[in-house]
Amino acid sequence: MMDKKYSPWAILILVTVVLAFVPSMGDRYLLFIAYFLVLNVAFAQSWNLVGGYTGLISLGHAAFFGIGAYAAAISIITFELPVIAGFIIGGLASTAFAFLISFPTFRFKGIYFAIGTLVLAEALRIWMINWEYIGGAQGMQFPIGIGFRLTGYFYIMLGLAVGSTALLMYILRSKLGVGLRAIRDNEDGAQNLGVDIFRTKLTALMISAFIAGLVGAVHAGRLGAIEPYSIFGAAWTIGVVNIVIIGGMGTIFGPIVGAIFVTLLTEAMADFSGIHLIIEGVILILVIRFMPYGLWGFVLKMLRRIPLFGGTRA
Amino acid sequence: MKRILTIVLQIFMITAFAGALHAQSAPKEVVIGASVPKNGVLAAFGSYAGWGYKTAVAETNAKGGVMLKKYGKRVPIKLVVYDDESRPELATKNIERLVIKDGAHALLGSATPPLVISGAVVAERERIPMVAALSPIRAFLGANKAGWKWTWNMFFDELEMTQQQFLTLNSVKSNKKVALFTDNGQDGVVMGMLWGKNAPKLGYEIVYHAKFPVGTSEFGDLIRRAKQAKAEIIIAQMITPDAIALWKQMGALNYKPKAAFFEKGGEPVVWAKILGKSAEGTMVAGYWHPDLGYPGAKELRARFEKDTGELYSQHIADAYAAAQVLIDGMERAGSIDPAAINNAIGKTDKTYVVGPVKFTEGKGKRSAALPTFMLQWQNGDLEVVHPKKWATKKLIYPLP
Amino acid sequence: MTGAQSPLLQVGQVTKSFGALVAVNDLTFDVGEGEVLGIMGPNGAGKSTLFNLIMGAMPLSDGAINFAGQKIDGLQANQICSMGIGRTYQIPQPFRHMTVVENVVVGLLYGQHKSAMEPAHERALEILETVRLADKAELMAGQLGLLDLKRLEMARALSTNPRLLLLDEIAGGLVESEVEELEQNIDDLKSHGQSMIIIEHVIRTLFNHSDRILVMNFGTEVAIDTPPKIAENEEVIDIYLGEELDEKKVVSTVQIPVEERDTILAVSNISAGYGEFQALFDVSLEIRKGEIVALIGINGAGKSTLTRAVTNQIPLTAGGVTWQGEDLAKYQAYDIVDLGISQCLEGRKIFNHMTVLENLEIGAYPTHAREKRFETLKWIYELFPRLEERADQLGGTLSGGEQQMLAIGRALMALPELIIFDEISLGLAPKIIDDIYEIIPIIVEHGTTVLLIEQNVHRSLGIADRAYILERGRVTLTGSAQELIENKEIQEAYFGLETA
Repeated sequence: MMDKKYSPWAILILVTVVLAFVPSMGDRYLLFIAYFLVLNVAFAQSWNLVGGYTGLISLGHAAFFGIGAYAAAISIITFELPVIAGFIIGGLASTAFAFLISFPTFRFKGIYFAIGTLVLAEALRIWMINWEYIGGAQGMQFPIGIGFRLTGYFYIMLGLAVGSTALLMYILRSKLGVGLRAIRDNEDGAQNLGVDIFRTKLTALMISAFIAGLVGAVHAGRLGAIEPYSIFGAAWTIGVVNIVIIGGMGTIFGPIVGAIFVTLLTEAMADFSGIHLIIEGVILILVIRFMPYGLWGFVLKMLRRIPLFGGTRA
Repeated sequence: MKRILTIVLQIFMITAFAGALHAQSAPKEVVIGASVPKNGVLAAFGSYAGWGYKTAVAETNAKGGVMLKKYGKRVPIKLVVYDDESRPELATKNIERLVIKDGAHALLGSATPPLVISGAVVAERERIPMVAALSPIRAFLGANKAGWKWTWNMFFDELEMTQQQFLTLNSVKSNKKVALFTDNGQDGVVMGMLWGKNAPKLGYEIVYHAKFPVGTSEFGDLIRRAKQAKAEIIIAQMITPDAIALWKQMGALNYKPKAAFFEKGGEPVVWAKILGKSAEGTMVAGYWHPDLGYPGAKELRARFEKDTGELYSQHIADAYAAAQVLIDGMERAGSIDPAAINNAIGKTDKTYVVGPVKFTEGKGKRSAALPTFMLQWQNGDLEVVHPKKWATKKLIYPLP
Repeated sequence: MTGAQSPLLQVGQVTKSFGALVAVNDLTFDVGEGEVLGIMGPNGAGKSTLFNLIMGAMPLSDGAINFAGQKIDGLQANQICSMGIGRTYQIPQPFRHMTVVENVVVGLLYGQHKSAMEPAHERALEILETVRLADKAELMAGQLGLLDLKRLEMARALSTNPRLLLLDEIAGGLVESEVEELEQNIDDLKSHGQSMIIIEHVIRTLFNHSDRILVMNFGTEVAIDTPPKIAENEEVIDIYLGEELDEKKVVSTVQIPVEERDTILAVSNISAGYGEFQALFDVSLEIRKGEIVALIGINGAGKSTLTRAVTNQIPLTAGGVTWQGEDLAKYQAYDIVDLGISQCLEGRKIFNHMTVLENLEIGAYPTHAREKRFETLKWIYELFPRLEERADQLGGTLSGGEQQMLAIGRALMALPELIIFDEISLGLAPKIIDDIYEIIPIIVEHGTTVLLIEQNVHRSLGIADRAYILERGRVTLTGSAQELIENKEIQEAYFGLETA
């Protein structure tokens, strides 16, 4: 599907440069939207690695996100660690959680894995609500004034978005990427060719959780106040799955296209709450029905008809 | 000569026009932003808060807008409201959007501590004044140890609120054994602790305290324990759907306390609608009643019921008053400078539809406590039953 | 091939059972270094299960498997791969969304524990060269046709550089010229001393390349010997042609001469296939009211495809099917039962989580059958008293034979004009096959015409009025059952061998 004639790295650099200039344009609303855009990109790439490239349909990504957020909050608020250290701890805590849940969940395949992760995430949410040490349902508040300014948070999140995209691009060209995709396409076939299914899946899930945990941690810092109902809410998972499917599962730029689409749609529909979910749902159905590789796959298909982007061979 | 006159006239006109231009540098409108839950578990609160904000703004606009001395004219108010779907992280996002995109000059809060606090964090960061309603004072203050600078809260004080139940029952006979049912939300935790402190001081004993997460729907075991502890009084602090489940299950398990208080959950009209007869006699502490004689109170109720066809809630008054406090602050500031508005709000000292409002300094910083009393569901309406000076109906005791 | 050193692969008393079904039963054999072992046997004999066991896809019920002196049963497939066994699948299992060359790279990187991408890529292209797939290296594997997929299976198996190669039906479903190409590959490998186990239905291929052949039936070893000896083995011939019956047990029920009856189903010159793969070539046949017609052919001859074509489940590329004078093309697949055609599918396909009674009731789907369902049910219980005894039992808990009875009963509940029996004897013990075959004339007496699709030549000819022999998608012989029984060409047609 990937065409050799265009360079993914060139596209990534171009997108990065454009986004990096957003704060200097002086429009705070643009910066506000751009922040949520890069957050969605980073989180979507995290899901894309497992959902799109490994065939592990995780419905528990809200848990990775939430653990990152809380681990960062505990480090920064309770233990008064530097903010950056808190973020990294957020990512690591989420990675550790991925390691723990791999043993029970990897026994399941397909829809059972999806349901297993969903149940685990919900169970964790309920546990967090009842854990008084971290504030229970009241959640935690960062002392006002701690952390970065909005521009700072934007650049950190942009870094995560670009970093995770670049990481995925690197992984796909490596041995790990070959193994992941083989597992996605045919697990038995992959195993017969020597792929250690468990280890490979675990590696993918841990990388994915690390990214998701970092995103959650940084976002918690920017929010300033977190509580378990919404930080661990399934809305995060639903959102990220929508973005990746609409943009194009198992493609590098699909999640970026999906994130642009969903972020702008959500923003445009802010006055009509609830409706954006209906519209997103309808679009999701249309995409699944008519664009198996999402919007980005569709764009690629169209681009191939233009000679600049190479032949129509495939 | 004629020509010279024409030129002078033209210069005159241009000057006048320029003057007009200068006068018009007053903003075309003042933007007040609000985030309220229109969907999700707190949607009921959102509808009351939304109505209160809208009504207060509409009244001001009917007079031509808010009077801003700096520009020597009234400027219409544009109220922008976003839905936070009862999700705190959306409240944060909404308030941010209000400040950044809509250029809100001042803000109104959402409902309940998690949503209000999530928005207030942004108001503090962006240095835009916010008046918050529908968030109990101690929970609100506890969320920011350093003290709020830009956010003003007007609601009841949980300490006072948690004495009302005991004070109400002082006039009747009971075994003074109380079972507490509190969820683990901010209000539940704070008020549960306060009841525990207040009960012995006022001569009551907490014989059982059930704590559970928000969203619990199965209470069988907890009810059995309350029953075993022989509690004749139950005091609950929980959201409406959970409270309805609890009260129904108490009925099903044949547990009949003599008095039942459902704070938060027993207050919206859906409580009475869904429970019907079994809501009769249940109580909820209140801070507003249309018959208490504050200016415009009766009219506000009538207006709400005419507008919506629904029974009123006390929260319409708090939200309505909060918006008025904000608008009055702007008028006193006489400009749209955030710091000036913020200062002016702090100097509020006036009787509103909810009674006298004055923000305290010191320990109760940036908050105004509204007087509390006890309400009881009687014939599908809420009546004041305590204290005597405000009572609109006699207390029904024990529960029918 | 036998030497002093220990054999490469040792399969010792291996048994695998799935509940009551014993798929592999007490099987013992060796494969020596450089040896090619062929495995043959009818469908359901347990051949692919044996491969799955060797590759560690499922645990053994009993016995042991050793490779190069080490115990491998209990290991995972990827560990077994690392030790030096590679396999191909009967139904290709490509990584559909990866390019052809990437498919091969997987085995090079993981199977040989390497991590450098560039050399792996180059080596993959070399391997693709040997299977004539290099020109399609950059295509998505999902875009390949069947022959290319088989080539890719071969390339992937080779990519792990295996000491022992397991080839499962590498020629299955291919046309003559394509089979030759893959045979050439096997020849090349053999000349390089590659040890192999080959499962093959194209028996000529198997006979030409194997040093020894293992014949399996019902999971057990029937014979293991050199190809010439296997070809003469009476027991083997019986498995493929069926035991010769002492007498024609059932006399044909046809009273009115066949020629005077109405044709209910007419298949005229149809061709059909799957994508690039053509399974049927210009096939014609007709079925008259009240007949028992047998359609006989080995696995892969196109029998099931013909069933699908007749019941509108796949599109025809040429020709047509008429049912009682009407063109079937204007109907949908789901109309077929309403029109009066019931199928009793290969593999039974009963509803495991429903009771026997519920399974039967679902069969009475057409309106006219629904009205008479209680009468029909009573009749079916007379035919198969076992089903009445087990009416409340879940379908999945029945034995194989009972499940087959249930499948037949369910098909009959629709009160069909024509019932198609697709390999109803598959995987059943001879005694049970006898029981089921005795029912068929009773069904015909009851007014239903029967199309019997079978591998088992003698048994089906013993009961049929007429028969068609299907070979590689073409009808090669047809005639009355009596004529065919006397025809010695059948054996050749079956084995594809020049019999001495």
